[in-house]
Amino acid sequence: MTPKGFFLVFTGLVILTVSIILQKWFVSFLSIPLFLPVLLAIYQTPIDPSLLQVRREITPGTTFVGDTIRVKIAVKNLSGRDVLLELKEKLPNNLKVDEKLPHVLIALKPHQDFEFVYALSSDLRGHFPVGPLEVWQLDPFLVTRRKVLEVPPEAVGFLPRIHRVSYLKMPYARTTHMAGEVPSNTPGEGFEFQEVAEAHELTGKRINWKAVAKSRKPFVNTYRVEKSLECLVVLDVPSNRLLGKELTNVVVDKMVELTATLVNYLTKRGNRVSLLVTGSYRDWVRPGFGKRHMLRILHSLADVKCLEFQPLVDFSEVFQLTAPFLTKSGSLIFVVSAFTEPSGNGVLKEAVSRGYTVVPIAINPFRIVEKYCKGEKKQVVSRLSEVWEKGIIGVIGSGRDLKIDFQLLRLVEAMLSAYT
Amino acid sequence: MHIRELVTAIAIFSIVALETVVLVPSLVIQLILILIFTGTLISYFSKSPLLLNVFTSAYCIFLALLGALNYPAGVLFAQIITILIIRDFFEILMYSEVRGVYYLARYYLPFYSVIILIFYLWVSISQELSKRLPIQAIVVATVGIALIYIYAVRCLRRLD
Repeated sequence: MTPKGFFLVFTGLVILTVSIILQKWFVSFLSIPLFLPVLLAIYQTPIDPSLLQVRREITPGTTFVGDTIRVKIAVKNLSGRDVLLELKEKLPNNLKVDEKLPHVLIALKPHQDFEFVYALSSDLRGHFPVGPLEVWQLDPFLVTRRKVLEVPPEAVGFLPRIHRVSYLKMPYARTTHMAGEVPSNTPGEGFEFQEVAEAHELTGKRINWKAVAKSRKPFVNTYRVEKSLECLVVLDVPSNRLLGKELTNVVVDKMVELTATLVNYLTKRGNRVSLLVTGSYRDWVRPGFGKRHMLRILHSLADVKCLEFQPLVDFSEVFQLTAPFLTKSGSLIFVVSAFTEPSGNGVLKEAVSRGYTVVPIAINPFRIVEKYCKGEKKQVVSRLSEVWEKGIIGVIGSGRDLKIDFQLLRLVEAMLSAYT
Repeated sequence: MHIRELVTAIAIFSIVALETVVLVPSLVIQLILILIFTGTLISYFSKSPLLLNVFTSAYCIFLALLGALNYPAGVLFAQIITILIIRDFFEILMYSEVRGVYYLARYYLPFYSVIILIFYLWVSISQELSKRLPIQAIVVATVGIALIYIYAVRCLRRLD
């Protein structure tokens, strides 16, 4: 029964009760127009669900936060009678309906079809179910309704925003004192012979003795730098102990956006990228190339959130798992973290101790949340932001033979300030 | 909200207010009825069918209680029919879908026509009500509601 049917019956009964109590029998006649539609509605026969055709088309199934997804609902009445249908799409609260409400009442003549389109958007990243779409049959007086069909839900994905970055300076590849290796200002080491070039400084490495003997000048063999490099992006999700749930979610969102931007940058330049999410959320995407792989990583990042309970992680085990995919000499590990909790430092420590080239990307969580705070809280947060900026270099660099690339850190900050 | 919808709602409100003023002798009760009806009007503007039904029920129950004050049965019947027509009218307007409005009109119009016909017969045999409300006034009110209905359907057709 619909709310209207409930109120009709309720009001009719109240009127009858009043007429009995007051012994005014003409008052009971007032309930006739209330009960009559209910009685007429009861005699309505339900439609066979196989005679209704309901389809839902979602285009596109995945988009970025802020963009819209169009959902088209098509209904066809295959029966030989008129039907009054109520279509109701159940949507999670996170999704915003931009155009028509996904709740309509339609009347269909025999073999008539009907289509309506609505647009969905979301300010939050993640995967959300659209549906189920409930199809109810109503009587003409809108008093009773029967569920005829239910179209199963479909998932739509809102991926984190990606920001356009023209250039990120990569650190020098790690070199050892083995003969034949040269430092390179692009990631990776060269193995493919390119040419014999005059050396500007004598390092004693890769010297072409034949060319030196002929020309009496220092010549070295130069090698083409590998385009493809193994990159592991580690995202350390902070827990909500420091800033509380709401503000931590803001920080996590910004960190995810930054990680997505970094992954996009690295993948577009032909690197082999893998993703490891640690801290308050755990996930792992195996290395891969190309657009499809980048989408796989973005789907994984879309679901990253701050969980209530921080899972215990043994980072040595993590790196044992990732070891087959990462060569120590030709790999770069990016650690995106706020470095306010042990997990970020744990990853960093383990990666450095295993001899990988590590790029720490320190995100100032206090500066991100500063604009969301007011009054005294804002002052405390800005003070914490200053303290964090003074102490972070020491925290990252302490006890490790780690060269921090300030230029890269500044670029990351510039990227963040562009959209915070 | 479209200007035509606003005009329709205000026209309906004016008819009900006039009918209440003509039929109900007590000023206080006139005010109470118009206040409750204003609630239905607000719920229509806020597009809430639930609130609309709540106010309609309140209106009907209040009319039943007026029966205890020996109000003429014809007046109460006229009022209850009016509020039910208005409730259904607002409800189908809320959906704003032309085919649905046509479909519902096929059922609602005969239904209320039969009930109003019974009411006419009642009025014609009731001496008490005939003094306060001539049959011509009821015919004019019914034609008025029908015209507003046609106007609303036309405006929905343009919106669709």
